[in-house]
Amino acid sequence: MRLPEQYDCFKEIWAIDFEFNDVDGNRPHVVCLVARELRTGRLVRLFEDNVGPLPPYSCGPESLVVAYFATAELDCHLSLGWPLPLNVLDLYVEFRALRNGLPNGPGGRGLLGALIHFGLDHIRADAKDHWRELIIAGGSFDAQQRQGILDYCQTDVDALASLLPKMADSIDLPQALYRGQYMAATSRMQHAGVPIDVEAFKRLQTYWSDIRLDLINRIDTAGVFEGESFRQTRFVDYLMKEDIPWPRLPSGILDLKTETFRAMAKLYPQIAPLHELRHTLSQMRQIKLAVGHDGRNRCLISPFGASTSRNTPQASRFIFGPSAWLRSLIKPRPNAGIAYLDWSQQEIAIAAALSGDENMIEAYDSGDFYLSFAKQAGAVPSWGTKASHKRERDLYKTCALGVQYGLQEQSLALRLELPVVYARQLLQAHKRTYAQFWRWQDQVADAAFLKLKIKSVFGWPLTISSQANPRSVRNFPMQANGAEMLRLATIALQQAGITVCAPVHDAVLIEAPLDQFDETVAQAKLVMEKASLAITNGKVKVRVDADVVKWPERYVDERGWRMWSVVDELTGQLSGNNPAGQ
Amino acid sequence: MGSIFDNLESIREANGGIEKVGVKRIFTNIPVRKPHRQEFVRTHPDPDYRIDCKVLHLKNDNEVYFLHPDVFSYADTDVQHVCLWSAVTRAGAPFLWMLKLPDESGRENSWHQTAKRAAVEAQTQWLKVVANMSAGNYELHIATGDLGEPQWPDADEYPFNKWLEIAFKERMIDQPDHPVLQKLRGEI
Repeated sequence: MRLPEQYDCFKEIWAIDFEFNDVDGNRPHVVCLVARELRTGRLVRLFEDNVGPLPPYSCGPESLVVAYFATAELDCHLSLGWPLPLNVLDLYVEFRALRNGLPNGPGGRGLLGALIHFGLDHIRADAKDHWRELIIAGGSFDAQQRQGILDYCQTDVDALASLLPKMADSIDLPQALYRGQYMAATSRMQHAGVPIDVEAFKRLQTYWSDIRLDLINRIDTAGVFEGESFRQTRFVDYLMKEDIPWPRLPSGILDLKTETFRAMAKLYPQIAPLHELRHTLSQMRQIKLAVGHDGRNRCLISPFGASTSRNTPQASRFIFGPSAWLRSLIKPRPNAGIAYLDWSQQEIAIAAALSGDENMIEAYDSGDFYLSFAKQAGAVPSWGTKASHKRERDLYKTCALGVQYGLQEQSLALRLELPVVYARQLLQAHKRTYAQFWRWQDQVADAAFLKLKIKSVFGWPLTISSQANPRSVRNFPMQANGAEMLRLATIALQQAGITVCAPVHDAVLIEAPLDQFDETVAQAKLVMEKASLAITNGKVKVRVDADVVKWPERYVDERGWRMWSVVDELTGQLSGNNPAGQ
Repeated sequence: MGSIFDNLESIREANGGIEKVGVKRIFTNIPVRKPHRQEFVRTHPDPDYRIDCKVLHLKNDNEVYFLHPDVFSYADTDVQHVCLWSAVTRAGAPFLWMLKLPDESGRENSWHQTAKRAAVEAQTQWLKVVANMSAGNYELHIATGDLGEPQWPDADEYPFNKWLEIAFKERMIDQPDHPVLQKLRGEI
């Protein structure tokens, strides 16, 4: 096998693949392992009953482990109590990087897609399905099945052996190994999982279909629903009664998209329970949350799933999916606590640092970006406070957030409930106050569309195709570097010995015993601040907010608290038990 | 194994992952006009960025033609003696502000006087000019807020003769038989 010189530092290069089952909320149960050392061709094939206490290959600094979507393999390592390899090269991640921004080819992003892309032989998809179904069904396998499963597993290992030389020249190895470290960090998070109140969860699962109508009756005090159906005409009446202006589509009908509802619920908190209810009823016919036998939520975090490289966990299976009320199922174990740690206004901080806009950095460092923006633009005197100039602050906040989303003056005016001329003035104020930021964004767009590539600070690339959305391209540095910050912090938190249960967009959920809890939270905040300084090249320390929950309390997201209270009460009544929250 | 923070420089992209590219803003049109009544403007403080000259203003077509000295005598009655000041809007759009100069007898009406005063003041502060019909002159409305400094076109790329070249690229009269002069003489 011929590989570029940079691979010479590894004494061994192992391609590995596991087959496993029983993953619905649980740690994987290993069925078999096939591994091949790529230079010598040495092959290892182990069925579950032959797997030992240590990996049959080196996981140390002189060895490289190659896999495709490595979290699966690394999850198996952790399930077996094996150490994780120090050097992981995930060809899934690198194929994603290579093709990011371009349409998927035949076979998609999977191993099959990569093999087809590079013109390599591959096993047929229907043959794969046959073996996958057999493995997932579990049970005991006869000798012929064991042989077949190992052979099937080996096809993926052989595929990796063919794929690596094809991809090696296009891979920036140090950056790829860094990304591999995050795949290992992700496995550790998937292994840890999020602690769930199992009793409350079981009640919810059991009675969910029975409480839906009662839930509507309790939450929908405006009478917008008819049975389980959301009635637009009734909603219009409600909006008129509440004097709430609602965005409309070009056709004139109400814009009822989930994201519009979510944005409006932020502006009009009275909408929030209705939004939660409508979303929940439409998305959750059944409770699909993946909770393992040990009472912890686990699902595929899907690192690098988004073009910005953010994680894309499956919403219906993840406790931090879009239904905020469901998060009240999170409850620390006895004598433990959890903390939700998120960077404050991460995207603004990144924009300020990368653009080098001193006004924006000063406003972020003030601790209240929106008020400072209003002051810098001359709308609030220097002595003004959040209390004395609430309206001005709110206007400038909506403008600053709108700029992040790329809102134009028409859309901003809608959010502000003001004529377009006010929105225009605010946007002009932003452009004047943060002129360096706007120049930098122009440079980002110019560079992207001229070079047809743009990268995060640690090299996550986006290829610019003819379908590229200019607004997304301009926002890419904020999003992709936000993802970088999360990856770096997650790795660093784990290196500090802190248990990270899950990543949540620009936040993490950590867990610690109560007797070490406060110190752990303080330490975690320092680590996350250090990660932010590394991403912003020392220019901005992004503040970290902590939301802590100590046993026996449960996690509360204020957006979903009312909904949770009603659900908990209704399921408690049906089960004849006291509600879990009482 | 060391800390993840120890070796980050080896994976850091130059310039934050954004390749440096050179992009220039090109000005293809520099209008010759007065500031609009709602428009705050600045004028260039460098005297080299203005010129006394003669122009033909075709009001029906709203077109201003630059007259070469060789053809002054061919358009005698219609010629205006003006000063063209380099000016810029808040959005950084350049234009030439055409200010009438006193006639040969040295007389100057109050419109011209106040417009000239506005151009002088606009060298150092943002202002707009608003016609006061009853007083028969322009009022100067000075911006009270801190609107920042004007964005002038790059001086190396756009010296003043380049401004003139762009502004009059198709409106330079340097021949007695130029169609505009022929038309004024009733020949076509």
